[in-house]
Amino acid sequence: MRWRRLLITLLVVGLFLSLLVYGFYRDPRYIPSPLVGHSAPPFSLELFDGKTVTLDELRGKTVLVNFWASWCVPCREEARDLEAAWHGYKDRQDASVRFLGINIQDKKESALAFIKEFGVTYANGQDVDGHISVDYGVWGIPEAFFISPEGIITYKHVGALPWPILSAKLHEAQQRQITRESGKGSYQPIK
Amino acid sequence: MKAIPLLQVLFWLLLLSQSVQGNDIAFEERVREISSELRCVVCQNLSVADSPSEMATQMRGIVREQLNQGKSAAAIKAYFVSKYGDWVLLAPPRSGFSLTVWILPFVVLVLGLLWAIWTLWRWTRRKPTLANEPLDPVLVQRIRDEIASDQIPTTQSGASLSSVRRRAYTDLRELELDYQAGKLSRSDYEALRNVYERQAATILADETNQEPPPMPNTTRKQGRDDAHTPVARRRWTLAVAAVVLLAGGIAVGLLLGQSLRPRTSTEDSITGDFLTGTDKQNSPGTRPADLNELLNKGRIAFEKKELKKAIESFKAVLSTDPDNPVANAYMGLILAQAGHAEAALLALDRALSRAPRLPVALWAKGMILYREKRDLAGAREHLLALVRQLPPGEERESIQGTIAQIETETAASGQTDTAAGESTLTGTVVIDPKVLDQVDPDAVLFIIARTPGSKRGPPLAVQRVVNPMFPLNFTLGPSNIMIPGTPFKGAVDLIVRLDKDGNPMTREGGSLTGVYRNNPVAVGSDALEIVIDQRVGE
Repeated sequence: MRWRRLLITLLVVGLFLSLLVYGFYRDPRYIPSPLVGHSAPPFSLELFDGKTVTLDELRGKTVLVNFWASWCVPCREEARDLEAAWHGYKDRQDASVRFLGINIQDKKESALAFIKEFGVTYANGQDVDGHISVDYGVWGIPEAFFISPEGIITYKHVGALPWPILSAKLHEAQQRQITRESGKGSYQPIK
Repeated sequence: MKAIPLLQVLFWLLLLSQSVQGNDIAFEERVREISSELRCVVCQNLSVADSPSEMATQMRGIVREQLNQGKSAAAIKAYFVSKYGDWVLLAPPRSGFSLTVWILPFVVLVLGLLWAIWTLWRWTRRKPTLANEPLDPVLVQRIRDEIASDQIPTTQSGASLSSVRRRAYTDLRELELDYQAGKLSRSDYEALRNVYERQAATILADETNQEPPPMPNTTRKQGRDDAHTPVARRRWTLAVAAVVLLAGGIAVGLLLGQSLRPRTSTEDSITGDFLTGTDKQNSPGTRPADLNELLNKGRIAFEKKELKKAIESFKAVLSTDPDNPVANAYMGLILAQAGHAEAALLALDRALSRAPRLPVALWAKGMILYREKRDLAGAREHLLALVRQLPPGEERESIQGTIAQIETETAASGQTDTAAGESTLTGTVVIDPKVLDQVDPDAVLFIIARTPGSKRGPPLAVQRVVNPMFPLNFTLGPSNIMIPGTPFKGAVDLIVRLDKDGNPMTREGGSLTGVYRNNPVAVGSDALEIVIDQRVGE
């Protein structure tokens, strides 16, 4: 009788403690994306140079879509790495990889100043009304989506993107290899 | 105001404006309803409807857009779920694993209640056993005798039993002393003596190898801690306390649940009823649903001619939303009926500044200008704006008839639309490039003519232009006269004001102004150029 009581008490206390531990270790802001493994939502983006690019035009190429803002500190951390990586891909003969930066929740002047400061040369435009951000389920920036030549999202990374992950995931996207678990680095919640 | 021939029109207009504004409010309420079920992705535990964040604003915009496209609430929610997963729903779906979140609280509640009932049942069952079980009178008498004779009894079976018995006797003696000293009431004394004698009887029976009287387990466990507590009563007290606590908890839970509501603005409170001391109806955070209800109440009261009630309802709306067009329009109507044409026009202007096509406000202003102010051009302008919205029918024809009448009277009196001739001032309003960046796109332009040198009091004539485009051509004439019957002639000072909140009486920051450089100017002058070049108050 006494043992049974002790067991029940331990069970109940243990249950609550595990719940507490789970709660402490969980990031309450983290939102798992249902988009990975599915078709990338189509969009049309007006670039800062006045041209317009649509995702459909890029079909057949591996695309890295990166959401960023000039006020986001981790975006500044990764900016030079991204540009360096782009230099590695843009000169390839097959031009099979494209980078696309989507500036969100920002002033155009601030975004242009950022691009100038970090010498960004890959295509960049602004999502003025937030439609593309919501279509991609963006919640923390920088947020990068790797899209295969068939237009399938193969991987999503929230936070600054380290160079080894960038190149590995681009390679996987070219191979149509899907990683459902989103990667996570230092990020800033959007406003 | 000759309202009687137009009562029918008024009634119809009320219905029309009710449906136009009602649709807007209903639409916004629907946007809010859907948004309140979506979780803001950048906040913690706030809905998209309640969050002031930029992302939530954009999400509300998407909800609005998709509703306009004819999508259902379920389809809109499904869209957000496809982007953010079930996480985005404030209430998890009632299927699959999420179902446990819905069921578990009720399971715990039912189990808890069953446990409480079982415990109470056990407690209450013990009492009669304890109190009513008859004691062996021989044993009781022996105990009393031994205590009275103050003997320490000896036994054959061993010292341990004696010590137990000695302790039981000591308890009884102390109880007797406490009672004699007046520390215990008679009922408590008797209840405790019964318990202790029962203990002593059990011990005695053991020692003399007699069959002990049936004793409940708890009685055996009675320790010295309980020495001064009537056990049976204590259990009942606990049982009652448990029930009261449970009922209190449920009541507070229910009432608190009802008294909480989503915040409608950052200044708003999340509480609002008698429990939290906030007046729900008149609090700054009255929800759109409440506003709608108040507006409906006001309209019904107005139609029933219960003006006091109507005024109360509209005032309650205006205390939350001072620019509410429907409430302002009705207040204008009520004021006009009471003969306060000036105040009515102010209320109607306020209504029209937010809803320039609101039928009831257009009609009321048109009629006041026509009947009270004799501003035929102004009346015609407002009624024409109204006719453009009306479908063909009796009402439209009736208002067209009024317009035709106004035009006849205009021709007869020599007034024209443009009020051309010697009694007008015409020219252009321009913006100085140095203040160009300070122009508020929603500002309202006022072209004002004052008696030369006067700074206070009502101006001679005012023209109000909503959404002005610069350079703006203007004509100020008798139709813009503020006080009916005042002639528009001689010299006047010409001033313009680009007012940020559309109310020239307030002196808020951000409004711009300009004064005609050659003031005073003679009425009849043309090609006047007024430059807006300074901030109000500079």
